[in-house]
Amino acid sequence: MIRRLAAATSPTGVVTLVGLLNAVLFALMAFAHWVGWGGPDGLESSGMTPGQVTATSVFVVVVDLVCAFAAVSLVVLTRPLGRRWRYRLGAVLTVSAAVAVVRVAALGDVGRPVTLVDDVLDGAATGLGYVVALVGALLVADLVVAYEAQMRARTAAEVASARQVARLEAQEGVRRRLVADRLHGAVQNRLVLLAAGIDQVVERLEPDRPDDAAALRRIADQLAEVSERDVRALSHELFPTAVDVSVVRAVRTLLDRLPPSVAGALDLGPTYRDLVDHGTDDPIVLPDRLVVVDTVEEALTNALKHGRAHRVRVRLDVERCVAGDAPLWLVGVVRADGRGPSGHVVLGGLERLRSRLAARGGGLHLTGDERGSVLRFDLPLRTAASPEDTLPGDCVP
Amino acid sequence: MDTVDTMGTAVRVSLVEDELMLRRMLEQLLHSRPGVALVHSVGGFQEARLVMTPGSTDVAIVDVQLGDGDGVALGARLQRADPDVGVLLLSCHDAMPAFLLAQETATKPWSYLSKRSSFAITTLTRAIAAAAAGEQVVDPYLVERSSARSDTQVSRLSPAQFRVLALVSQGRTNDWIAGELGIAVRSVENHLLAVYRILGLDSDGHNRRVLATLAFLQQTSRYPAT
Repeated sequence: MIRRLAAATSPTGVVTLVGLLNAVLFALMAFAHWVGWGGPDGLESSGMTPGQVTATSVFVVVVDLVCAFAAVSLVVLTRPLGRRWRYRLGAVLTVSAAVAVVRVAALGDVGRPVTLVDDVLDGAATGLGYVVALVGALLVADLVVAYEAQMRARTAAEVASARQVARLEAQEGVRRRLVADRLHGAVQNRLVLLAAGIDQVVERLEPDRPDDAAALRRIADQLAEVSERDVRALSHELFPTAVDVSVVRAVRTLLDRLPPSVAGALDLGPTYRDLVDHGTDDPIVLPDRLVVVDTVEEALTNALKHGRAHRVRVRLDVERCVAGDAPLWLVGVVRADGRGPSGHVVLGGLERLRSRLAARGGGLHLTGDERGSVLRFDLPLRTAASPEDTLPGDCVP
Repeated sequence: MDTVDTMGTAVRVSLVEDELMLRRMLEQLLHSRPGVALVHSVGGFQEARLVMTPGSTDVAIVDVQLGDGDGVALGARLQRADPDVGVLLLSCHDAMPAFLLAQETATKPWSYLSKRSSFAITTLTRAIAAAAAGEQVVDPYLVERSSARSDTQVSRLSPAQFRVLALVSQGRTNDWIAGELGIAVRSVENHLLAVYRILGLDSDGHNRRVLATLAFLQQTSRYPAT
């Protein structure tokens, strides 16, 4: 209730709405009370025609309602929100008393003989009714204000937390990239230098000592193999190859490293291609790129390992959220032939990636049958220009 | 094709390599070659952008991974500024996807060598000459370990045609290939015509040797079958 009120209107609106509701109910109760205590009968006994009785009854209702509206409006005009309760109660009591006096003056002698005591009692009851209605409205408005403050604090905490996570991820990415670069650069370069040095010795040895030359060349080849395969694999574990350049480059690298018996292809959807063509860099921020590339790699590995696939096709595109122009979502689909999962799908290694995608507001879905598998994943697209603009929400592509 | 100087003037080469020791070794190699004039030797992306002004370089030898930037992006930027500049990409690991991606927008075919191969002076010289002439040389070590992907056009080549295409990818001339395989030059030409036909390369003015090389690289794998 409080959440709906907070979403629907401002605190002042809440005071007006709840105050009017209370005051109108009070007015109707007062009218019912007037009828119950013989108001119309008194009018008839005083010689009024039925038409006059009806007109007078309508007049009573209208006066009650107008007084209710007046009480609420006057209290709202005193701008009670944000003030101390002493001020609020003062405003409520003053307004209630004034309106009650007006009401008693307007209705005091309608339908029944009155005494001063009757008027005082009637005015006190009426004023008390207004006080209860207005204080109730102010209390509800306070609840709304407190709820909104709580929501703002929670949202701010979520944003701060998301920023902190983004910062940590960025730092982690930088650190991993540094180590990977060292492996790729310094370590591999030294291995290359060693292999090249051995090659030069081999050239000199070859004419006179071909066997020694051949043995040395094998050592150089093994060094090159260690450099190309083992060091690269370590580096890739830390930081997927080329992911710092773009998702497209990294996925192409993954496809290039498929065994020759497997045909791999990468399709870019029109929106994604448009973003790439018009940007200087990849439109996806680095932490998101890592998740995307890891997901594609896991899907390819599963397709080959479990599905014995011979064809894999990766499609990447960007879709707009159905709820509006923003945010954009990256949608990836990895299709593979071979044997796909059937029945209840156990995600295995993909479960970890599903968690990583979910933490960023995305998700993945794996389906399959005897003819192959389809892994679909999506992720809210946070552009490099505004990495924190898009936080997980209700919007889905 | 062990010499670079084909027109009587030296080929102006710029070297961009962030590993100092490698750069010094390559500098020595380049200085030792007649027909090669090393005009710039720099250690990074930003430095290269500053000193390699359009018209100052015929061939840029660029490390694929620089400390302060991406070598492929640098090559593309250099070619945008000067479409005549040739690019020879160096890498200490297989950077074939990056190399192939760069070809999509290249104004002049790029060549690609592993760093180990770049220290073989004949290979380096051949690659520089190819880059200057708008031809293409791909690292012999990588080409030798390439095998055709299934269901591709390259997989439909005969073993002899595949071998000829692999040697073309290394920047070898028809004469050299004929000598290497012990067949007539005419036979090499016939194999190549068959290769072009199978790869669907027409003769409308494109450099079919370059297109065939790109098809070879795109449709082969340099990784084991398991």
